[in-house]
Amino acid sequence: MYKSWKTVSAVHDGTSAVQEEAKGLHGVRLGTVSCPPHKPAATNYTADIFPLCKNAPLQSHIHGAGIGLAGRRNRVTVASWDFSCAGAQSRDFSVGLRAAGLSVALQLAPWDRVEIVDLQRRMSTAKQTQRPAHYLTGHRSHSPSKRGFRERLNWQGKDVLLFGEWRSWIGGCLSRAQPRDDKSSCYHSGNRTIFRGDRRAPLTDQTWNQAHISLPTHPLTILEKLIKTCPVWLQLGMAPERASGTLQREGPGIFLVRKNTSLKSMVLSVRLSDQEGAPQVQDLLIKEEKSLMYLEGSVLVFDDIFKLIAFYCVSRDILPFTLRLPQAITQATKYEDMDTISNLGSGFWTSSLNRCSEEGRGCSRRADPRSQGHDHDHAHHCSCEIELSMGNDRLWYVNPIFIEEYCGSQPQAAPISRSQSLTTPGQAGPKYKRPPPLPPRPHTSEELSPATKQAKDPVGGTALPIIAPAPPSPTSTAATKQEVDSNGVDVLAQPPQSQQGSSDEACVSAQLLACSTEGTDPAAQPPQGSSDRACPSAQLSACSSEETGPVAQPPQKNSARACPSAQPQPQRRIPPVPPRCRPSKKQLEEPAIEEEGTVTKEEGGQDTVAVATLICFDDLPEAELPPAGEEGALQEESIVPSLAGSVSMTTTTTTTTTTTNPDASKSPARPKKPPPVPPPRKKRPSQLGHGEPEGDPVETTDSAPPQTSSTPTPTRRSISAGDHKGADVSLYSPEGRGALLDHDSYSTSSAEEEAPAVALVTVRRSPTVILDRAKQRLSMVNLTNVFTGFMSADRKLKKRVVELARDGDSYFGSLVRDYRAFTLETMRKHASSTEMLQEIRLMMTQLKCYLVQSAELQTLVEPTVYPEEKLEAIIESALCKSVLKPLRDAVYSGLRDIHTRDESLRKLEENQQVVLGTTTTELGITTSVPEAPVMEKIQLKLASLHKEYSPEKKIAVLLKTCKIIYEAMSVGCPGKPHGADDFLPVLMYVVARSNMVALLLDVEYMMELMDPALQLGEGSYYLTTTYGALEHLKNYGRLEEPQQLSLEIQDSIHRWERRRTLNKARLSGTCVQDFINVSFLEAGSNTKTLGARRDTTAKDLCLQCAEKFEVLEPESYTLCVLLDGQYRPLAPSELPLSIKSSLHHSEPRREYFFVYRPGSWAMEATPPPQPPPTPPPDSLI
Amino acid sequence: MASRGGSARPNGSLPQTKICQFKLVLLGDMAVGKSSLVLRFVKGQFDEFQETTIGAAFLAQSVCLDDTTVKFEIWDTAGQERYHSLAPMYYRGAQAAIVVFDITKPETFERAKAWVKELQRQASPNIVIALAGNKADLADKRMVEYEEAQTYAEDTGLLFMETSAKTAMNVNELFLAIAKKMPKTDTQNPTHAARHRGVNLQDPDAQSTRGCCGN
Repeated sequence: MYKSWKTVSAVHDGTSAVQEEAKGLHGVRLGTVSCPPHKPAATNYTADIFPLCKNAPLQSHIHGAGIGLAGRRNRVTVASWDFSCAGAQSRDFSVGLRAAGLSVALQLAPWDRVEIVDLQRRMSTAKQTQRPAHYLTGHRSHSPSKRGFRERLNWQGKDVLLFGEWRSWIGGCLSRAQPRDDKSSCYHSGNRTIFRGDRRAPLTDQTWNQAHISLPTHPLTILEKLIKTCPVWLQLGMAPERASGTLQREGPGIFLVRKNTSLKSMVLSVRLSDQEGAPQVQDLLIKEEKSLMYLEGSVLVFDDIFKLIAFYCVSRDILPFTLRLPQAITQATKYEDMDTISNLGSGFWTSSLNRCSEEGRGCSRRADPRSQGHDHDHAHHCSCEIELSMGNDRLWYVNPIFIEEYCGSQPQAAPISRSQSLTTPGQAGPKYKRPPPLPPRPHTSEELSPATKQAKDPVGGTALPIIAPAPPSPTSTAATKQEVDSNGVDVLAQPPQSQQGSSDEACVSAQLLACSTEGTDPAAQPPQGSSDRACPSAQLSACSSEETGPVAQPPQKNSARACPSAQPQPQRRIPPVPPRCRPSKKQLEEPAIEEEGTVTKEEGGQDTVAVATLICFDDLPEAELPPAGEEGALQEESIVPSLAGSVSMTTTTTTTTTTTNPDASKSPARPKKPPPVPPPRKKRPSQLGHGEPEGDPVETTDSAPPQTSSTPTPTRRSISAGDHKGADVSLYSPEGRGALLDHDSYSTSSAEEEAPAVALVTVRRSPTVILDRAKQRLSMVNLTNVFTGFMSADRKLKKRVVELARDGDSYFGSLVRDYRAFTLETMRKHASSTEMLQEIRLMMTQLKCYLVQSAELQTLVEPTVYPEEKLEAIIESALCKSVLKPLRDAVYSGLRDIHTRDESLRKLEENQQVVLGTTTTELGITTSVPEAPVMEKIQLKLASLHKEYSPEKKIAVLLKTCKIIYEAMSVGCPGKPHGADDFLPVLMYVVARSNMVALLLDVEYMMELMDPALQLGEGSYYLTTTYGALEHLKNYGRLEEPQQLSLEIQDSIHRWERRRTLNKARLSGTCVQDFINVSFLEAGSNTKTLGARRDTTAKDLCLQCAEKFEVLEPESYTLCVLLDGQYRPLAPSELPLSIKSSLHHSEPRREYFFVYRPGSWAMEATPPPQPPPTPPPDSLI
Repeated sequence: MASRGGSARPNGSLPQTKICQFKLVLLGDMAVGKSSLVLRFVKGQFDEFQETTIGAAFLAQSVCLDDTTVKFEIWDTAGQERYHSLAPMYYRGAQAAIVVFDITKPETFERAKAWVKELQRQASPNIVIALAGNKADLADKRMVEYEEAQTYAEDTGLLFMETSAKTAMNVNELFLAIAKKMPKTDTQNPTHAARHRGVNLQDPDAQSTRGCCGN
């Protein structure tokens, strides 16, 4: 159980990490103030921010960027966020961060990777690079765009990271959160993902409310405000010039929605920051698809414009930052106010109402960085609003990753954070987050609870004590830690106020402690909130603490962790704490922390340690000792372990605390910094806690016993520690997930890469650590895990089938392998493309058939009972991957050869020129045709279609392409539905301007290889239409006798339909074609794969061999089985397949070869030695 | 417009009935209102039965007929003469066809007759063909007399209705009439069953069991 728990917890950690990051973001927002909103991350940040709080700056930055998610994980992450804002420059940095755990951040925010790098860079710059070279290990490259993200993911080797999976993952997270959030949900619509739900957890809400009591409350949610004030921002009739004129007078983030009359779609005009030069306004197309709408380029869809805008007010997704409502609206708390504003309509922009608020606005929202202090207030407000809205809103569309976490905590918080409600956001985030964690933590808490819970307070006390003891350091440390913990918060508040922060931090830390305590006690309860409220910074801290608390709390854990570090485990932890603190600091503040020589050393270790610490926290319980073994960290760890042992969550907290302490101890001066770091941790912990519960349902369960998880972790940790560095540890922590990773594993590597150094300390999974680096890893791992875990058993099964197919030792695997070889060998022999493809399709169908009935599948399929159809669909997709993918290129070249021979390619190319010379009227076009840019888009789509190997996916792309064509046709007369009269000619037009040869091959590929069981419908229609268009073009000039062509096409289509009809029938009752590898003369030489059926006799096979090996005197050769060094000639009537099957399944497995060699038949007398039990396959069949 | 008849009742009423899926092809000269006719039909139905599609060239719509849910996959074809040669691809395997002409344009009626002839010669033998004289709202411009078309339809064994996509006249009725005429036993129509796997029909597997390696 522990083990499982650990694993789970690991996953959770990942999740939590994410969540924490989210928190961090919050925190960032809160604290962000210091950074100028849009400075290039690297440039702007650098020294300034770093000194204060490494994390904080980043976070701030992030906020500025509007991303909000990552914040807490790594400061780095934050940076990454910034990056998006910053622009291209950050790309350079990308490499390093990843290693540092940026990857995590990346996961969170696809866009921001680059920034992460920057952070590292900054860190290294600022800090002298405490981080070893390994930081630089990361990957390089990546565009900040989503696409880049996706690629990057791929690059990392994580299939999981692919968008689809990513989405799934998100979905998984959401679902995790659901237990608490009840209504949240996520579904996919086409290629878009929609998240909905009220993520607030009861506890969270309470906490939140309590926490925010002091804050100004806005009864109106963002959505409500948007709806209420749409006359202001929804200016469908406004001319572009006027819109941009209006916006130019506004601060960044202010937006208008207008209508592009030519495109007939709405356009979101957003005021960009001034930094980019003259005031700019960016226009983003709001596309509508059916009943959904989305921003062009985004994968998130919404039901209506209000929801869309509301979401982007909270999360930026593809925007450079979140949208802002004019301050007057933001601050309006009553419907009457709203009415007043909305009555102004577009006049609002020039009204005094707007003018007044404008000033504040700049600071509050857009100027996250700048108006730190101011922002705080504003931020608070904003955050409050956001939070409130979060709380009140039923629907929340969240960014996949971020959102989720946020959602868990408070998606809005992130957005809010941007707005500047650092504290609030943080709190909110934490709260939400916390709640989820609570459940899991309880276990932890239970474990620790006695001490921890009580300790919570105590912890708080301890933490405080720790901090307090070394006020200077504590402060700094505390601050640092706190910062870390409350990253965003402290940082935000502190960064700028770093100094203050220190004091604040101290307070904060105290608060945090309190919070943690509170959080612990109240868990989700507001108590903390109250404390938080006490001081903004305090709030922040409180929030963080709360968050932490909540997170940690989940009661005990959080508190335990957070507090534990401070209190519960004070005794134990205390010692460890320092180290941890250092580590944490290191991680967080590494650069800054390094200042302290000792620290630096430690840092070196810390990096590791930091990780370790983090890990420790997580793992403390588990990994405690191992870590302890190591360096100072060890001590800490050891302590931590004990603590950790109490609760992994605690660990996290502890880490934070510890970090704080260490920092304090090490460098009291840096009080400020600490805070930033801590927040993340806290958040993380909390998140972790949440994450555990939420992260993976199962895991959650496991998570419940945090310690347990930690316990398991230790092993991992130890291992990791031994093998890898802290990083490994972190990995390990993820490991729980690591197991998951195994499945998906890709992420692991990245994590490892990143965190190797950290390994030592890392051994533990301390939430904190996890948060930071773990995040990276976790995120990766988590993603993977999540995928495997949540994603659907389907996916898992598919994966297993694919693995089985790759496993040459399995019968199925060998079948697949042989089949592929056979196909490759015979491919050239086919006279027609249809024949060739049908052969392949048949093979696939048979393989599927075999597997469905095979015992090998039984071992794969879980208890879950799949309906046969579904099972077949899963196997089909697995087969696509294991069969079609490797064959794809060969298939295409085979098709190309065939069509070159029959001259269709030549005809096509010739006619293409002819058609290009015709007018649209000649084609029968009566609508508008795609303009150049759209054509380009279409060609891109078709190119991606060509690259796909799965017929189903190809068809999906084809449909998308057709959709684009429809859209282009409607440009002239929107709303008019176009039937085939209109569509076909335009399709001809498009096809003639595309790579017709590739398309022709693709169409054939799709038609012949697609799963016959697939419900075609629309896909079939457009496939047929495309095929028809190609045929028509191929015969263009001479086809004036229509019937002529039609006969050929008809025939082809007719045959195709028949095949499809028959295929299904064939599926169930067929005999599977099998293969036998026969070597010539001696075993292993010149081996050929021969097709065979169950009833193929040795004699039949010999004839094949004779042909295959081109033997001159077939009579003098015979087929033998080489077994145990003995050649045994087969009798003519023996069934080779039966022999193969029995040998293959013999226990122990024996090596055998079929060899075609000179000799004579065995005496017929010898009855087939043993047509052993019918080959399993057969039997199966 | 007659009442919708029992057929088009709210989806809620399909008590697990059989689901029959049919491919219906639309033929007719350009601009006779093929797409409009179908769109009118589809839009007049309950959303629940509607499957969203990327464009109007292919539409899917279900209607309830007593204990059966009939799902139409409606394949539109391009009416231009130059694309005539592609039509067979579309009506291949169709279980139903609606041949549309414009009552204000006699040439479209002639073309419709040609389509009917072609269908009867080349399409599936059991195909249900309906002739629709569209644009019945433009009675004052009528060039094809109702009786003429009616007689032709009777002679050739077609369903016939004059419709108006604009006013929705006879639109639902036409589809319902077709639905009623379709063989409801999937069993009898293994092809369909196999082809439209989405449909529950009877279990195709039973049939499938036999042939193997059939290719």
